[in-house]
Parts: sequence; C-alpha cells; structure tokens
Amino acid sequence: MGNCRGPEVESEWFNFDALNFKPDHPARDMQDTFFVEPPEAHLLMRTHTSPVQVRSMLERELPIYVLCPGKVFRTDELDATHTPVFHQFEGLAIDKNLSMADLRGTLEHFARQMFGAEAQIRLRPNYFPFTEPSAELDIWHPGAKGGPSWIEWGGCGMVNANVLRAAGIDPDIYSGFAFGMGIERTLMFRNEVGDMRDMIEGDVRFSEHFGMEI
Amino acid sequence: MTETLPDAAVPNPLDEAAITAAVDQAVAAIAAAATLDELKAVRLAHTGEKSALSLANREIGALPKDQKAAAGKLMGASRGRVNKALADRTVALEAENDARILVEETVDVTAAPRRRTAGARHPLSTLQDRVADIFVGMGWEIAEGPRSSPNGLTSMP
Repeated sequence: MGNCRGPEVESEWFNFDALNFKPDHPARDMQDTFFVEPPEAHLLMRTHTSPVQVRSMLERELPIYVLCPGKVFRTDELDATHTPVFHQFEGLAIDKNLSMADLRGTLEHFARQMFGAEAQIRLRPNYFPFTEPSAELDIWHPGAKGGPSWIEWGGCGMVNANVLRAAGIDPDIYSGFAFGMGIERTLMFRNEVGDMRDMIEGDVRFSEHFGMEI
Repeated sequence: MTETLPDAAVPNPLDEAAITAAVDQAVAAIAAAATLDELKAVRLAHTGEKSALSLANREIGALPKDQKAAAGKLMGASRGRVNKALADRTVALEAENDARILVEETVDVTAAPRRRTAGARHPLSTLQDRVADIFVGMGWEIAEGPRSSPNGLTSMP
C-alpha cells in the first residue's frame, strides 16, 4: 500500500493552498468548510479528497497511479441530495507523457466497468484550481428515471503545474491527471436510490436490499 | 342350566330387570365415555358379541313360542335405547373433537413471522470496494488513511 495516507482533519495548506487555491480565491468560500478550532491552527475537515493528491506526490515514488477513497465534509444541510459527511474517491496519475487522452481512456474504461460495455462518457470544460485544463465528467445513463440522459458524475483534469511544483515535481518532465467522484451520488443514480438520507440512517433493511455484491 | 330344562317353569332367562340393569349400565358407560376411543371400547363391551345384551338376545330363539314376541320386543327396545345413546354420544363427542381441533390448529395470520435474515454490507462500502477493484485491476494502488492528523501538517507514517 505504500505510505500515502490522507487524514480527515486536514491542514488548510493541503486542502487549499497546495491545490492552487489562492488565499482570496472565491472557491475557498464556495467550499463551505468546517474549520477546526483554534483558527490559527489552520485545520479543517477536508472538503474533498484532493489533498491526498498532494500527499501522494510528496510521499510516493514516481510514477504514481493511486486511488484514494475517503470521507469528506461540507457544511451542507442534510436533505435528499446533500449530506454534510459523504465519500469521494480521487484518482491521481503522474507519469511522463500523460495527456488528456490517457485521462479520457481511463475514465471510459472505469465507466464501462461500472455501468456496462455500452456506457459512454462526456467531458465538459470547467474550472478547478488544481487542474488545467479541467472538465466535468458526464455519464450517459440509458436507464435514468425520466428517460436516457447525461448525468453529471464528477470532475477531472490535468494536474495544474502549480500543484506539481508545490509537491516538488518538475512539470516540464512529468504531467498527470486527476479525477474525483462522489460515492453516494454514484450509488444514487447507479442503483436508483432516491434519497441520500437512506444511506446514513443505518436502517438494516436498506442495506439488506443490496446484499453483498452490487 | 336353563337350556337343559326348557320346558320347566324356570325363570325366564330374559329377565326384564336384568336386561334393564344391563341397559342402564351400558347407557351410563356411554355417557361416561370422554373420548371417541373410550366410546369405542364401551361399544364393544356393551353391544359386542360377548356382551350381556347380545347373549340375552341369542336366548330368544330358545324361548317357548308364547314368550318370543314379548322377549323380542323387550330386546328390541333395550338395544334401541343403547344404540340411540351410542349415536347421540358419538355425535356429541365428534362435535367436541372438531371444536377442539379447530382451536388447537388455529393459525394467527396477523402474527409476526419468524424469519432469519441474511446480513449485508452497507452499499457505500460495497460500491467503494467495487471501484477499488476496478483500479487495482488496472495496476493502480489504493491509498486509505487514518481519521485525523493530530498536527495537521505532518504527513502520516
């Protein structure tokens, strides 16, 4: 397993600064973060698994191909589609000559493993501080309620050169891609769970329905 | 004894008092039978071939002609009483039996079912493992970490 690990109580530096969020970057407000007292400790409940990208790059030998599933925290009210504690998985690949084509190929393979050989993905240009270029990842969902449609699944992009530099990697030699998806959200549209609250209430009847394999 | 002296003025073997006593005894036994099995035993004892009434009935043939009609009438009435008692008791006991079985075999369709449920993992864990399996299949590594970093800035061992 190596020694790449990411804590849930994370430093602000790993969660924002190292990921190219400038101190006055609006994304810091957008994240709606749980900060941990005292403020001068600059600790927070990590708002995404992206800080693990930085930790992986600092702690691992190159090349890196790592997946980090983990719990993340945001100050959302609990409702049918939001929960203040949820799970993401974040993928990171750092190697020589990696391109957007590698990212797309990886995601396509992953999507077909998860949703069947007919699965299709679509990348829509977007902005994240820690990737450039960045894209939203959509998946074609033929069985979606209300008819086949594109469903927003996660974010992805080529690791921003500033993030590589923050982790001591020379962006002129290495490049990388990263992506992240929510596990709750994936379960919702993959297995037709209508209300996210069912996942956290701990009613055994909910779990029994899924058995040991999904 | 009586057979050897048919013409003598011997007491009628079909003594009315004795027959009545036998009938009363049979009716009492029938009434006392608490189950259909007991009733069956009573029936064999009091109306079977070796019972007092059957034996007495067989005597009719040996009686002088002038006594046959009266004896036949007596025996008919006696056996009729016993058989009626038997039939009534049989009906009563069968009804009782049916009622008891109905109670004993009652099924409460509203009762909570007894079932053993198979356990299951939480679907979030199962899905997370499935995702991890796909990437391990591509040669990727999985990184999982501790719940917190006490000093935040130190990477975990």
